[in-house]
Amino acid sequence: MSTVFHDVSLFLLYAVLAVFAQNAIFTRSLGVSRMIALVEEPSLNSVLFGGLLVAVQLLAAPFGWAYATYLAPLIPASTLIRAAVRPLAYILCSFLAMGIVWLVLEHGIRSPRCSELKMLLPLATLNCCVLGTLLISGSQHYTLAQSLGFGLGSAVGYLFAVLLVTEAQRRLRTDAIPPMFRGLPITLIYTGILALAIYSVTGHMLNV
Amino acid sequence: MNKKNRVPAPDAGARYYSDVILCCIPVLIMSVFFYGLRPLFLSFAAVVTGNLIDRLMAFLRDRRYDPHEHSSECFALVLALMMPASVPYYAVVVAVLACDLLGKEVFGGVGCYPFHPVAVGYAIACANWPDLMFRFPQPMTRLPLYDLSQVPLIDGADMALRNGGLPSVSSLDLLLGNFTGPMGSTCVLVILACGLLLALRKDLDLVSSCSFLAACAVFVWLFPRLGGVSFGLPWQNLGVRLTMLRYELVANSVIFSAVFLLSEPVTRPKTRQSRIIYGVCLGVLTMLLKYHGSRETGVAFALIIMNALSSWLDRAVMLLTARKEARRLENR
Amino acid sequence: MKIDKARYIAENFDDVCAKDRVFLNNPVIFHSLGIAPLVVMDTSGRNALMLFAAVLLLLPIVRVVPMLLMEHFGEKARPMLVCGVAALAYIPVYFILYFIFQKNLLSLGIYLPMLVCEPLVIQRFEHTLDAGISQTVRKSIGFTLGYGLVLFVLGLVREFLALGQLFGVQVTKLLFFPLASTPMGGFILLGLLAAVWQYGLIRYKKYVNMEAKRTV
Repeated sequence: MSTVFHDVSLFLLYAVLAVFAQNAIFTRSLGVSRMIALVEEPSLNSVLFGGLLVAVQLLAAPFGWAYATYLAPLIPASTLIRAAVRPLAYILCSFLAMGIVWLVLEHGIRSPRCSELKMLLPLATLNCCVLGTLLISGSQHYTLAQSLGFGLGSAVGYLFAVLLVTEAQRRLRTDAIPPMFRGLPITLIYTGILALAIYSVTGHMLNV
Repeated sequence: MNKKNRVPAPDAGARYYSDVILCCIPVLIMSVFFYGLRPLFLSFAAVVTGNLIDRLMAFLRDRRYDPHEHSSECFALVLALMMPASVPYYAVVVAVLACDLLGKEVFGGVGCYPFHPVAVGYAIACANWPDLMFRFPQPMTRLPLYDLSQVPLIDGADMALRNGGLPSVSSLDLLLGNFTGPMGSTCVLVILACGLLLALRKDLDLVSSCSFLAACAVFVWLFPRLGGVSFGLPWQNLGVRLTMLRYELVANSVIFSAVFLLSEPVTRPKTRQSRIIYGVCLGVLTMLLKYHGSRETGVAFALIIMNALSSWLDRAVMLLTARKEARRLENR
Repeated sequence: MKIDKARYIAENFDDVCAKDRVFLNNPVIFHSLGIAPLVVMDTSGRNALMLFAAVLLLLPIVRVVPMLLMEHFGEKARPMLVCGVAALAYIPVYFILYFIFQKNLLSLGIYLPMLVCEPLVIQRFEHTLDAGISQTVRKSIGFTLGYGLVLFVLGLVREFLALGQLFGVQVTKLLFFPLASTPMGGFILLGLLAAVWQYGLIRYKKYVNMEAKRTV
C-alpha cells in the first residue's frame, strides 16, 4: 500500500514539475516550431492537439520505460550502437502509442471530431515534445511512475504554453509593433520573457 | 499641422509616470542617506539611459520625441531602486536597455507592452548577474563611486528567512530601512508615504495593491517559514506568525512592488473583479516563488506570469458577468 | 543594380524569395523550422558546427528517400515513413558524426537525436510532397545552407556575449550578456536576429522597388 502511495505521489510530483519547472517549451524548447505553427494556423485546433498529445505521451511513456529498463541494457554501452538506435527505439514507442490511439478513434469513439482528430494525430505523435520527453525519461533512468508523470506533465505543460502564447497573439498582432518585429521575432521574444519567469523556479540549466 | 511635428498633450496615463518619478525622489534620498552618493549616480545613469533610448526610438521610428512622456525614465528609476547600491554601472545600463527595449519598444512602445518593463529588466538582470543582484552592502556605508573591491557584501535579510532563521533587525530599523536589501525598497515608512501620495493622486490602484498585500499576508500567516510552525493551526504560535509577517512583508520588495509596480496602467487588468483576482494570484505566486524558487525575490517573475494572464482575466470576468446578467434578465 | 534585373525582381518578388532559401526565404526566419536546437544548443561555434554537420547529413536523405518510397506506402503512411527513414538514417549519421567530433558530440544531449522529429528535417506533414527529386534536392541543400547560416551567426554571437569567446578562443574577458547561453537568452537573441533579418528583407524590397522605378 505504501509503495502504491509512494508511486502515486512520485507520479503527481513529476507531473507538476514537468508542467511548470521543467516546462517543455519554456525550459527545454521542445516542439517550439510546432507550437508556432499551432499559434499561427487557426485551422489547427490547439485544444484537440493538446488532448491527443496527452494521450500519446501517457501511452508512449510505459513503452519508453520498458525499452530503457529492459532492452537498452542489453546493448553494450561502450559501443555507439545504444546511442545511435535511441531515436529509432523511441520513435517505435511513439508509433505503438499512435496506433493504440488511432484504434480507439477508429472503433471506440463516435464523434463528429474523429476525422479532425485523426488528421492531428501524426502531428501530435511525431514531434519533438514526445520524442524529447521519452529521451529525457530514458537518459535520467526514470521509474515507471516518474515516466508516466513526466510524460503527462510535459504534454499538459506544452498545451499550457501553447494557450499562453495564443492568448498573447491578441497583443502581438497589432500595427503598433514595428514591422521588423512582427510575426516570429515578437513571438520568440515573448516566449523568451515568459521563459525568464520560469527560470525563477529552476534557476539553472537543466540536464539535457 | 504635420503629424510628425505635433506633440501630444499630457494625459492621465502620462501623469502616472511623472507622479511615480516624483515619489521615487524621497526613496532615492533615503538610499543616498544609507549609502552615499553612489545610488544617485546609479539612478542618474539609469534615467539618462532611459531618456536616450526614448530619443533613439523616436528617431528610428520617424516620430517626434515627446518631452511630456516619461515612461522610460520612470521605469529606469524604479528599476534602479530595486537593485543593490553595489551593482556596477554597466549592469544598470544593460538592465535599463532590456527594460525599455525588450520590455517596451519591441512591443510597440507606450501603451502596447504586455509585460511590466521593470519586471522584464529586473528579471534579465537577476538571470544575468545573480551574484551582483542578491548581495548587498551594509547600510550606513559610504560606498565609493567606482571601485567596490574593498566593500564587503553580504546576503540580504531574505536569505536568513530562506534558511529558516530570522534576520537580526530591530523593528525601528525595519521601518526605517536600516537593513541589507535593495537600495530603494527597504525604507518602508517612506514608501508607504509615497503610496499615500500616489493614492491621493489616484495613481495607486488600491484594489490590486491591497489584494496583493492581503494575499501575501494571509500566505505568510498560514505558512510561516520558521521551524514546524506552518503545520500548526492558524491561531497557534501567534507571536511567531506576527514576527514572520513583519519580516516577510517588510524585509524585501513586497511593499515597494505594491506601491510602484502593480498600479502600472497598461499591464494591470481593467475590471475591478479581475484586479482583485490578479492581486491575490500575484501575492500567492510571489510568496510561492520566494519560498520555493531559486532566488530570494519572486515579485518580478510573478508579475511577468500574471501580466501574461491579465487580458485573459478581464475577458473571463466580463464573460461571467455577461452570463450572470443574461440569466438575471431571463429569470425576470 | 541593373534596371532590368530590378524590374524582374520587383515584379516577381514572391517567386524570387521562394527560390532563395538562404536569405530571402530562410527556413528559420520565415518558416519557423529548427528552432529547438537553435535556442537550447546553439550556444557556441563548435555546437553550431556539429548541428550543421548533422543537418547536412540527415536532411537530404530524409527529404529524398521517402519521396522515392511514397508510391509503395501511400500518403496516409507518410508521417511514419518520413520519421522511420529519419530514425534509420540517424544510425549511420551518428557514427559519422562521432568519428569526426568524438566525445564533443555528447554536449548536444538529446537535441541531436531529436533532429529525427525536427520539422526542419522531416518537413511539416501539412505540406504535400509534390515536387520532383531534383527540386527536392535543391530545396534540401538550400534549407541546409540557410539553417547553417543562422546556426553559425547565432552560435557565435551567443558564445561571444556569454563567454567572450569565438570557437573556443578567448577574445575578451568581459562577459556582456551571460544570459545568452541559456534557453531564455536563446529565445530573445533569435527573436532579435529574426527582426534584423526581416528588416534587411524590408530594406531590400524597398531598394529593389526604387531601382525598378529608375528611368536611367
